[in-house]
Amino acid sequence: MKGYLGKLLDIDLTKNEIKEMLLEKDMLTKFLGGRGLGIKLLYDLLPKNTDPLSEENIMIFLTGPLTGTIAPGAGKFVVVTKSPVSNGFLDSYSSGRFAVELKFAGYDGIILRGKAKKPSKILIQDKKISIDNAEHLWGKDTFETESYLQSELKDQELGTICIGPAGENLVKYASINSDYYRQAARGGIGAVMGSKNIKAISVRGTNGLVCHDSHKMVEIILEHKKLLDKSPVVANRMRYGTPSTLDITNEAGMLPTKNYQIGNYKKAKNTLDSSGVEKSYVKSRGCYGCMIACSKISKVSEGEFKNDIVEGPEYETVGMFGSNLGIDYLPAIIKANIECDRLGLDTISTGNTIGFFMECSEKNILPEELKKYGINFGDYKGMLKLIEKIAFKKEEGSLLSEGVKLLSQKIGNNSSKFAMHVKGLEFAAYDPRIGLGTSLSYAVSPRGACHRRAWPPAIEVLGKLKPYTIEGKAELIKKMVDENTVFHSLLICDFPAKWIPLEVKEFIGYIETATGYKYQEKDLWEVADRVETLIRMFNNREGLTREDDTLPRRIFEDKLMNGSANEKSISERDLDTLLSDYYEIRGWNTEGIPKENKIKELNII
Amino acid sequence: MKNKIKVSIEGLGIYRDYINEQDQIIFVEKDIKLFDLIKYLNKKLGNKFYNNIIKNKEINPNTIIFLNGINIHHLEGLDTIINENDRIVFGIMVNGG
Repeated sequence: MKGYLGKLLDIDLTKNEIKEMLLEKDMLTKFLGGRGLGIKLLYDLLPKNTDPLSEENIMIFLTGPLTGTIAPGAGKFVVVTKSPVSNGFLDSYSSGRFAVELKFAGYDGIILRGKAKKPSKILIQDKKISIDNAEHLWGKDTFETESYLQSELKDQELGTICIGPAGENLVKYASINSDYYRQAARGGIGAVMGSKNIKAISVRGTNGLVCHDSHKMVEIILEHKKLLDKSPVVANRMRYGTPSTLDITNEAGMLPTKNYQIGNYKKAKNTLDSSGVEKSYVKSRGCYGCMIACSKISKVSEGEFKNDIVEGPEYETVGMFGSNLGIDYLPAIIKANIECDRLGLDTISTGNTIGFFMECSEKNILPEELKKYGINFGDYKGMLKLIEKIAFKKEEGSLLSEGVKLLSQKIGNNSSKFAMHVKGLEFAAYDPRIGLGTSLSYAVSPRGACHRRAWPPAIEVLGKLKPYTIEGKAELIKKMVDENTVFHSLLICDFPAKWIPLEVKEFIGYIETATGYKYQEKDLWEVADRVETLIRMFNNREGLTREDDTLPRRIFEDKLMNGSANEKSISERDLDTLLSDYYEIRGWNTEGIPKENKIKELNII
Repeated sequence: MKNKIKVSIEGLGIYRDYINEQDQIIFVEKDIKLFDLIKYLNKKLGNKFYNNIIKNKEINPNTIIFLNGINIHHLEGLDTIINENDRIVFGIMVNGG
């Protein structure tokens, strides 16, 4: 099938062996690529109960059938593995040159098995592939590493992904960096790469990509471009980038403030909202194949961080290092963003974990040995020092590097109540108390508290559906999750799709013009159902149960102050009802285990 | 001014371009409905603002309107009665970040 290359690079680091794995057409049509193909391969290849940071774990780097084409937002890749945070399925996404170069080199993806004997890097230049010594790069930050590799190979077009010190030190929220400022960051994916002694993978492909019908694809894009040009949502994003989300989450009262104690941060006005952040923008940047270019380059114009430059900060970073830490000084947030990118850390989990530590400090519940490290909300200098300590596991940073779940177990004193995570993955920058569907989507997300599985506030907070009714919510979440599963299996960015907007059915044409294979809309929804059910089967196999589909006690016991939530907490009983509803419409039993007839119906195994 | 009430309005994102600081406090008829207030703003701020907010006499799905932090869809929509010192915010819909 065109669009795909039909093969993966299969690299065994322990044996120092490089092979090719062929992908059958049937597997591709049933699982598409990206998330879908990732779970199929992980389920089939990974032995049950594998330790995520052992050499037995595998990493699967994947593209999708549209990657490298001119379809909107088709420059992304995903890394799939067993999560060191949840012990379940982990998929972590990024955009970057790496994705398209891999396709141009002739591969749909890479499987990494085993562990290199010493720090190593992988270089792929079309069919020429090598595993090389990288001891000289171990300890270098991500910026130095990428710059070194580009200079060494004298190739600015090289697609490189790499880890920083945080990944080398197995920090539980270490990222894999790409194109300097892009990250596959969630769930400790960088720690898994570090555990394999792999510092970087660089790819250069010169083969291009052949589509089934390029002319027709151009026609489709031109039609969608007309819609894009008329969309005020796109206009807003082109001008302000993702921080425009903060305008709305703050007004609606779901912006995490001081470790999710409050849903509104008054100091954000003209500092952290779109009008505040816009003052630092110097230019825009687009990912490969994007018509929007929502990414912003920001530069600090004065003060102690003068002339610091970052691509970003994105909404999640502003929320987690800003309101969530009680910090309204944007230059410090830009600095924190740079430091996380440089050291290879997830800004969401880093901000969340520091916020938790700040609340424990202010509540004076830190154990004796940690009291000297106490830090208050608003202390941006302390925050910046802590980021470095986390990456290098120094002093209290060593404990924080494990994430809020384990940190709260160490601190005790009932702090697990406000350790804001699901399945060990820290909350992103919106508070689930804003609505029942939003709470459900965090609770059932297979990788933990995830902002990319679905974004229900768009419907139940900002749309016409009421936030605290049960009726229709399980169906809503299934539909939203399945829609994103299609997008994330195609590996297209969900931003153009959501903002133009384009529905799932509108991607049938893109798939057909890329691959020659024509899906019906129902087929794509079935792919999503198949993928999500197989992910559930994987998590069940690795020991996750219904009990893991829950939220921290704060969500049930503390009222969310300010905004439209209007002093609401979530009823545990309502969430339980919704969980049962969700399982039922998925064809899973009351314990959340997929039923035999459903597995058969979806032709999963 | 006897039958007038004071209301504050604010634009978020690209709607900031339409509402200057001096326009943020307005005086409108008592018991005015939101739709009538938006029609009043049409005269004051121009057609482009109105056309972005209203589509086929309903709120454009691309627009979110908050009344004192509450989504207007969860009140009475365009028929919502505006009261003294209410704060009305116009924003562009978001789908994550």
